[in-house]
Parts: sequence; C-alpha cells; structure tokens
Amino acid sequence: MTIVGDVLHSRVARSNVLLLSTLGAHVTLVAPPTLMPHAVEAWPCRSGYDLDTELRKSDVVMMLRVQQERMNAAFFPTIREYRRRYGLDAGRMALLPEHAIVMHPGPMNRGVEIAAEVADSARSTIVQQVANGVTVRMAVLYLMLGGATEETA
Amino acid sequence: MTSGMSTSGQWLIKGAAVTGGEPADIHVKDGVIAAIGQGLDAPGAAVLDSGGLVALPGLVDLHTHLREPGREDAETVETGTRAAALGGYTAVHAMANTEPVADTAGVVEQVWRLGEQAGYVDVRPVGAVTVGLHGKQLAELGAMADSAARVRVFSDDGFCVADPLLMRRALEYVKAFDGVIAQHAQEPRLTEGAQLNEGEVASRLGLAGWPAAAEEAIIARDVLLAAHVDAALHVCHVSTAGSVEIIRWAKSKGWRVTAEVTPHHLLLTDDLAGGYDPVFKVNPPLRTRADIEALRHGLKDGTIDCVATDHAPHPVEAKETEWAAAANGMTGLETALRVVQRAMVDTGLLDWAGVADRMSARPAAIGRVPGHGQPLAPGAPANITLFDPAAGDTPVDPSAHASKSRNSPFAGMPLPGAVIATFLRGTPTVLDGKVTR
Repeated sequence: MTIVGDVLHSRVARSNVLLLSTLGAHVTLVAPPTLMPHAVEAWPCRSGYDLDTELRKSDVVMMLRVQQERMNAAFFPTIREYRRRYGLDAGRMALLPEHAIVMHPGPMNRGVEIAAEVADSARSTIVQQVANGVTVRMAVLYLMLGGATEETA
Repeated sequence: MTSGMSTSGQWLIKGAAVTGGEPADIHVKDGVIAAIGQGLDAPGAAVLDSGGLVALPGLVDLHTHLREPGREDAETVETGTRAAALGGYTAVHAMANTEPVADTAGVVEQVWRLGEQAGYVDVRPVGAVTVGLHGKQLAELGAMADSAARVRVFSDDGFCVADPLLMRRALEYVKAFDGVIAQHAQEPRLTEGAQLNEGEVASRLGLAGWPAAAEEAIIARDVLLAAHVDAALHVCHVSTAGSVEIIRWAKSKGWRVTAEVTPHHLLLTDDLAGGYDPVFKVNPPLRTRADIEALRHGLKDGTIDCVATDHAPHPVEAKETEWAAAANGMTGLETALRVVQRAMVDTGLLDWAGVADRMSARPAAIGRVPGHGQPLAPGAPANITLFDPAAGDTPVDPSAHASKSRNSPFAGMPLPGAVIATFLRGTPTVLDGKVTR
C-alpha cells in the first residue's frame, strides 16, 4: 500500500499508517522530501521519494490532496513540477500491477495529484472510499453521542 | 613531443609519472585506458613522449562562469571550454547566473548542448535554486534534474540563498534526486555596498568592508540546516580562516558538508587592492595572509574538499573603471593548476596524488559527474591531463589566453608549470600546450 503526497500535513496518512500496519499491510509513504515528516523513520512504514519505483510493487496506491498554499510556502516549486514528479496520470497508472486499485480520501484536485482519467477509471475506488467514509463517520458519531450499549462500549 | 598522428584513435603516453608516482606508459584505446605499465608496446598508436610530465586524471571544475546565454561579450561556452581544456580540465560546471538565468530545463539543456557541440570538456550545467536568482521561490529543480542536462548541483551563486526557510526547503527538496545545494555564503545585510575585505587595507583605502563574519554566519547556519534535514551542502569559494574552522567542526560531526576554495584565495591577499586596480576585485574578496594559511591547511587536511576556479570572465569595460563601479570576478581556468603547484605542491602541502584528489576525484564526486575523477587505471575513461611541473616560472600573459576575457589577477606574475596535453575520453583536446582544433 503506497500513500503519496503531502504526508506532512495529512491526518489521513497518519491514521492510515497506524491502522493499516496494525492490520498487517505493508505501507510505504512517498512524498517530496519537503513534505515528508521529520523522523518518519520511527513510523511503522517505509518511506521514499521516487513514486515510479514504488508503484511497480503496490497493490493499492492512495493519493493525498495537495494544497496550493504549500507551494507558496516553498514546499515545492510549482504545481506543474509537483504533477510531473508526484501526480498519478494514465502513464504512471500503467506501472501498477494489473490488480492494483487507486484510492484518494477526497476532495481531489483533478489535474494536480490525480488526473481525471485516473480518478474516473475502472481501477478507482474513490467514490466507494468516500461513501464508506460517510458511513464510518456516522457510526463513530452514533457511538460517541450515546448510542453505545454496555455490550458494545 | 608528439611523434605521429593517431589514425587508430590509439595513444601511447610514454614515461609519465602517473599521479606523480613512478614513470609508466599509458595505452589509450577506444576512449578508455587499456593498460598502464613499463615498456608498453601498442602498434598503430600515436606516441606521446611524456618523460618528466605528471599524468593526472582530467581536472573537474565545480565553479565556472561560461556566461552564455546572455553575456557572450565576456565568454561563450565555446571559448570558456577551450580555456578549460587548456587548463587541464575535462569537465566544468557552468554556473546559473546567465541571462536568462539557468532556472528552467530549457536553459540548462541549451547550455549542456552547447558544451556537447564545442566538445572540449563535459559541461555540467548548474541549476538556479530560486527563480531568477531572486531568492523568493524555488525554481523547478526536479525538471532540471530530469532534463537531458541531468543537473545535480544547484546554486544561486552571485547571490546567497539568504532566506533560511527557503534554504532549508532547497536542501531537503534535492534529496529526492541526490542533488546538492552549492551556497554562495554572503549575509546580504552585512555586506551592502561591500568592496573589499573589512580590515586594515580596506580602512586605509576608504573602501566599504566585506566582513569575514558575513560569510561565516551563513556557513554556520547552513551546516546546521544540512544536519537537521540530513541533506548535502556544498560551500562555494570559502575565503576565511573562520569558515575553515566551522566546516572542520561540521565535518567532525559527520554532516554532509563539502567545500571549495579558489586558486586566487590560495595565493593573493587584499593588499593587492592598494593600487585600486579592479582586476583584484572579486566576491568574496581577497583576504589576509592568515586566511590564506588557513585555507591552504584546510585544503591539505581535506576540510576543504577541492579547488574550484570561480572563473569569472568580464569584458574590459566592466573591469577598467573606478573600483566601486567594476564588476566582481577573475578568470582562472588557464592558471588554476599552476597556482595550485605554487601554493600547495611547491610548499610541500600536497603531493600530486593530493592534487588529483582535490582537483578531480572530489569535485567529480560532489558534482555527481559520471566518468570523471576516477583514478588512472586500466578500464577507466581516458580523461587525462599531462602537466609539466618543471616548466620554469613564466609570467602569465592574459592576451594569450583562450578565454574571451583578460581579467586575470595573475597577469605578469611568474607561475611554475605548464599543461602540455589534455585527453577527453581518449581524444586529445590539447597537445603541446595548444588546442587541437
């Protein structure tokens, strides 16, 4: 499982590393060095800077949203360069193994971290991922707001 | 010295002291060193009688201003690389402060192609760290790294990347492609209007001072940043004793810090500015005798990794003016090895193996230059410089230089040694001290 993008500012990346590694998945983070958290070596995952290398051995790739403000804070030079180096387009998607799927927690910047043709491809489970996210949030809110019984608590 | 021209592309270099060691023959074939040994025989090879000469791996310059595009009145890739070959170089790094600035893949590829066309040395373009060298926004460093020019060294040289956050980000960002940031260490506020090393000479001449602390403060900051993000920092043209101390300390910590010194900072002092001749105006400025001693010993013990020329050609009208109006910079490609012989070899500080390390192996490693800086040994690319250390002191004559510009601070100064021949991948670019075409 490869998680790609602005790991530094991402809650999604942090919870996924903890959850997925607990479930036994091998997680790899890919980001520009400027968007990789300091001391990431202590996390239960691998990390790297080269997306193409990691894609070839990924069953799942999850792209993270990158915000325009990050560029203004000099985390990377331009949106164009970010897309070239870390964006998932059709050419890069072809590097994935046959069975691999594409995920994104949303909302997407189409044309930045993910190309429209990838987001809308048969490999994309993004809409399902977002819908599941709603269900999970509903369940969490229900439990937190008093829906818990003695047995489930 | 040459007997016969090579029709086979093969050369037999007879009796050269290989990296200053025992005299041996070097057989060059198909662009590589085929054999090194005593009494070699190579039918069909052109023979170069090299008795008394020292054979060095082709020199690599980390810091060259080729001026093209934009300032072709000062230098072109063609003239600058011809000067480099005459100086014994087989690879140079072309600095980014051209017009337009080398801050895009397009410009670095243009410079790289011009180098290929000229064919004298391998030209490795340096990419700007920030757009337009303005120090505000990172240039597309990844695009330059991925371009045909394969840029690995990035520098705003001429200007300091003064913003500490931007410097931190740059150091981090280039880790993705094994790049290095080469810093022109000059705190801008401390050096506004600065003309000459702040000290006794500048005070006497009434020129605004360039304090050593302005260099040392940036180097101290940058080695800490490099350590924090575990990135590679290279310090350009180190000029003060204090800088040497800071770099020595950083290296003792195991941090990824490298540094260069120019030939002129190894030999010339600020009192030369006493006649207000702007040929001695350079940035960072000429310093004191004590700084020279510290720089030489830093180069000897490896604190300073390499000699880099900071070859900075300027047309006559930019240098023959009043001091304050003159451009900073000096030519250096065609005198570097001779200056290093005077400053380091004749003083007993470095032997020729040390020179090979500081002027070829280490700069090639810092610049990630493939095929250069390798020891002279069978199988290595035949990048070879033949130097005559016994050529007696002859005065430097800038009018005879291949560089388009004449601003050599060594003009008229007797210097020892002479570059006799330079081979780039088995093909001579210089023979008998002259370019081959």
